[in-house]
Amino acid sequence: MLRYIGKRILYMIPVLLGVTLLVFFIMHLAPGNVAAMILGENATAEQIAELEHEMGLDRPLLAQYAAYLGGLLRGDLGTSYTSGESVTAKIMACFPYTVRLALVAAVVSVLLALPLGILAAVKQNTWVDNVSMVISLIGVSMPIFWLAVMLILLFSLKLGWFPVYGAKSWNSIVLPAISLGFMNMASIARTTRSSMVETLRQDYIRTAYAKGLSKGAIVIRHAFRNGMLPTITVIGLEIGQMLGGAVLTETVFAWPGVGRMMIQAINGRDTPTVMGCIVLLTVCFSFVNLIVDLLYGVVDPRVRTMYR
Amino acid sequence: MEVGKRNNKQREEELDFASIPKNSGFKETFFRLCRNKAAVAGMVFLVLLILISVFADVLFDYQTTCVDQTISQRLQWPSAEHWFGTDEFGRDLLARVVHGSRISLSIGVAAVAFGLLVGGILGAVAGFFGGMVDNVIMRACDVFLAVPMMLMAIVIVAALGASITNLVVALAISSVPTFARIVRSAVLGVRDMEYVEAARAVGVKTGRTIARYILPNCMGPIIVQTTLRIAATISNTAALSFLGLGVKPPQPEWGALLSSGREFIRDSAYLACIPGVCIMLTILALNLLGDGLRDALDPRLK
Amino acid sequence: MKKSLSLKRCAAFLLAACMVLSLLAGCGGGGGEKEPSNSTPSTGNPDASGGAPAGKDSLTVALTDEPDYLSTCDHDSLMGVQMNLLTYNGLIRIDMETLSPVCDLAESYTQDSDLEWTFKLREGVKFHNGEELTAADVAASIQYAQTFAASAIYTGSMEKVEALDSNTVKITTSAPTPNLLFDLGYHFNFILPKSLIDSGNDFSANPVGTGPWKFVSWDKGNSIQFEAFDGYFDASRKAAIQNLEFVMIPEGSTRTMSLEAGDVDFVYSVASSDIDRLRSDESVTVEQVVSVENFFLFLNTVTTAFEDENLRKAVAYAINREDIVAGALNGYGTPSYSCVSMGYAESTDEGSYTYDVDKAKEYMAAWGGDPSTVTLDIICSNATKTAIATIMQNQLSAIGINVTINEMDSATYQEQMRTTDLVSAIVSWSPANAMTYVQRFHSTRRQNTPAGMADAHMDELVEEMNTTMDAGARTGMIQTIIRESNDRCWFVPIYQVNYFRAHAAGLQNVVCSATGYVDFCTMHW
Repeated sequence: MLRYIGKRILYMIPVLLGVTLLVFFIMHLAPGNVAAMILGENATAEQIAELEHEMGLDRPLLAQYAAYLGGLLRGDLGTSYTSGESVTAKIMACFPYTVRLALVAAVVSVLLALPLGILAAVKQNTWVDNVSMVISLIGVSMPIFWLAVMLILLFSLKLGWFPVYGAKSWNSIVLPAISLGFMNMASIARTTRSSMVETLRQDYIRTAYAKGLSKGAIVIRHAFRNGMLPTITVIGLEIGQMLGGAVLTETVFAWPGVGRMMIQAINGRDTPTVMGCIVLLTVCFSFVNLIVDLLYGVVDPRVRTMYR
Repeated sequence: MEVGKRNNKQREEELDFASIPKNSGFKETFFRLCRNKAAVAGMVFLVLLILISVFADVLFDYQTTCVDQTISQRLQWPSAEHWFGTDEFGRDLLARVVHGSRISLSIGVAAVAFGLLVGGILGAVAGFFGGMVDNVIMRACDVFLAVPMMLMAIVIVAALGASITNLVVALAISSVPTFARIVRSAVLGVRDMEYVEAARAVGVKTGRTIARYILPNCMGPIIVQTTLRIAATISNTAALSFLGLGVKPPQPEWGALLSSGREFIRDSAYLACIPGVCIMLTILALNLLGDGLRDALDPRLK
Repeated sequence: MKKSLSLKRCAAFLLAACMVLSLLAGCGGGGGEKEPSNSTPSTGNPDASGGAPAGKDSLTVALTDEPDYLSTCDHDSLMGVQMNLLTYNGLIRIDMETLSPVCDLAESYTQDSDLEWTFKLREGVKFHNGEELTAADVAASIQYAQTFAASAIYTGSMEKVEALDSNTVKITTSAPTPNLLFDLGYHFNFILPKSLIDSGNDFSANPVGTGPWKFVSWDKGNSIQFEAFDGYFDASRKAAIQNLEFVMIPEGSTRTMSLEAGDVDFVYSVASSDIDRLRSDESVTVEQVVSVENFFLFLNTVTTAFEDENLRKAVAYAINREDIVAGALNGYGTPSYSCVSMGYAESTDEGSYTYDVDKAKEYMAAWGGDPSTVTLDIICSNATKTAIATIMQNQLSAIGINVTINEMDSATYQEQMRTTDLVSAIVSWSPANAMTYVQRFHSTRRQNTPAGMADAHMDELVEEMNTTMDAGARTGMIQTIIRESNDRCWFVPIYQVNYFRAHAAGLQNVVCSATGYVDFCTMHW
């Protein structure tokens, strides 16, 4: 088991290399000139060239990439082109907010989605099934900014329970987490339903019924446990995605997360910040995936043979 | 297909543990599908939608209703004259939604089909073989999963120019890793089943084992994801339209309609909500149909 | 039968759910009649209800974007300058109401010759770190600014800056520079303590100046805090607001709702779709400022068909600015018909083109080309510009010109602006004075926008103006340039931006400048 984990962590190295290489070249392929952006529209071509030289942007791409990797090995993510601060500091300032939002939103969506999914599967093809699936779908297709505005109008302006924006007090997280969780609920609920439906048809469930076990016990102990595999995958994917930041939610609620920072950095062609975010994102993703794969083994003993 | 068959094929037929009916064919699936009323309702809605998008030009003239503006008529709430109200340029929203269905449906279906094809193959191969192959494919997926869609989109547009085709490419690339992971985990769940081992034991070729014995038995999550990805694709189009990678004005597209309604969300909520409800109903119909299809295709439910 | 209804039922359920949520939130539904928009500018009404909470001395301001820097020389952004105005001063200050230069750290100045200026500093001015301001600080600050490439157009004319004694500074320019006072009021030339410049202080993380507020903390992405500086030198402009906090809220509707909920006291920029709502709210005051920032359609007059003057005029006549303001800006903008914004002393809209499709068609005939061969490709860098272009697309179809619209992120946009492939773009500009404005008509501009106009006669006019020290004569020259460029129609003016700021009604004496800044010094509860 430990060896498996160690191996998986080693596998992260090529992924990180691949990601940094890909993003580095993407950023350089993308149109738009950092130096011109920094200097503004009054700058002359010579000034732009001079700044590019100062920033080391006139060196060959591979040399720049090698220099970046060198820094990365020493734990140095570089300094932001647009604000001149260390990228590590920049990321560390907003990553905790992102983690907090992602985890709370994940809890919200799992709490909403699992009951809906299981209920729908157990009462398959009845109105209960249909209604719970519609509820879960509202989330995925509703314009999130509309939901957000409605939540703010109701809970902040009318009732005064939660602040409108930001992350200043403990209860600021409630509204963003609800809207983000609601948005991500659909795929968890639907995956749970479909794999539960599948599991409930298995022979061993029939055997359990024959043994005279209660329906609740069968659903929870036998079916749910065995039907969890795809659900866990989806939950993992959703958390991974949310750790990368939820741009719209962060924007509407003025939540100081990584997503907004990264989009700003992409638009400002701030390569070091984008790279820093991506490295962080990749490490998070890999860990989430590792945990998901480990959970497979906990849930389904047949998969355990993988861990060698 | 009865005549001139190879010997091992015959053997395989006899040993078909997965009991997939060879002759089930389109007809039988369809009849089984029709027994499911919810699925029929979904199918009827989708057929109607497709008809609407095909005959959009008959219903509303594109130039006069979707392009020509009447600024004095802007932001009017739904009325007898304009069933869905008018947008910020005074154009009839119903006409734009009708014409938009054409673009949205094609973008959604094309992007997801491409993503499913590539992602499905990668995921199935990774899940079936495990080991090194699995590692290489899944790490590559991790690489692509880590690169944000926005970034990818900017570059694709820079390299290939802004067009609907490139929009589809950008959206498809972002769904490849998701499909690969879903298919892989579904394959992991069934690849050690006895019937698969049996099929391999009697010498069925690998590709055929995956296609005939494994994939059909993990269609459930795949169908569910496919229908959901179409939803996600349509809303991602809205996100991309902020970058100018979306459709170009004055073309209507549901995601773009949704995102341009954002500014008016408090006073003219219908502007964002009507396209939102259209997207929602389409997804709902796709899902009902998807569930019905899954049941109809499931060999165990025969 | 029960099941066949399921889709319908689901749809009904879903619509009902939306309705319930809307109703709960007290919005949406049958808002058929909207109040007619009230376009009279509001005056800061001090007696409105919901007034000042007794003894309140803090202010929370919602900004749209976070400034990148709190230092003076690293940026040229509106938000950054607004922050600089809190913690720093220049020798000269641009008055927010009159837009003219007045003395700030300088007590007086004299112009000794075309090239030589002498500034006397105020006595007893203290920096936030307790040091006293001397002429050495001034010289060091301007020399420091000159080391930054981006500052060149504001510092480049100053050849020599010397401290004659502890409170006298002499500035020698390389050529006659009538704009010097404006340059000194620009943030690049704000004064920093020499000791901190020498010790390599990071002025963004630790902004120390002489300004009315002291920097307290900056929680990146969240908020920036300032507190009033007790030792401020100018009693008439001493801060009445003790604690000043800026928070970043990118989404317009969230900013509005924060103000409505009382979570913030001041919204720096109100989304145009929320103006009517806030105006009808008695606890909120909306400030409207017709700014000098104008939006225009930039045309490639070098390598495209738009080098033809008649074609340009046809375009100018075919554009209905009223419709653009109504459609793209919810009615909150001022249609613009002159190449240089109205609002400067020198402004004039003589020789410009109002909406007239018949005239547009005449000019199309005068041009004589085939409109189907011309495609006007407009690049846009945000949703407002795209909305403007969408309306133009519709209007220009009346004279047969086909418009394509290309929205792109601003990095790509700025790069495109620097190529000759560019056909057209929607551009905005808001310089501090008309003289800076008309520099745009000199061909040196083509260093940055190579597709821009070049005309020998215009070059002569601009060069002559640049070296004319007599203010009266210069005004006449500027007007000649404006008239001439309106006549040649180098680009098509569209509208002048109106800034909308909103604040709790209890806040008084709010001054907003036409160049985009807010004077926080004058405010009080």
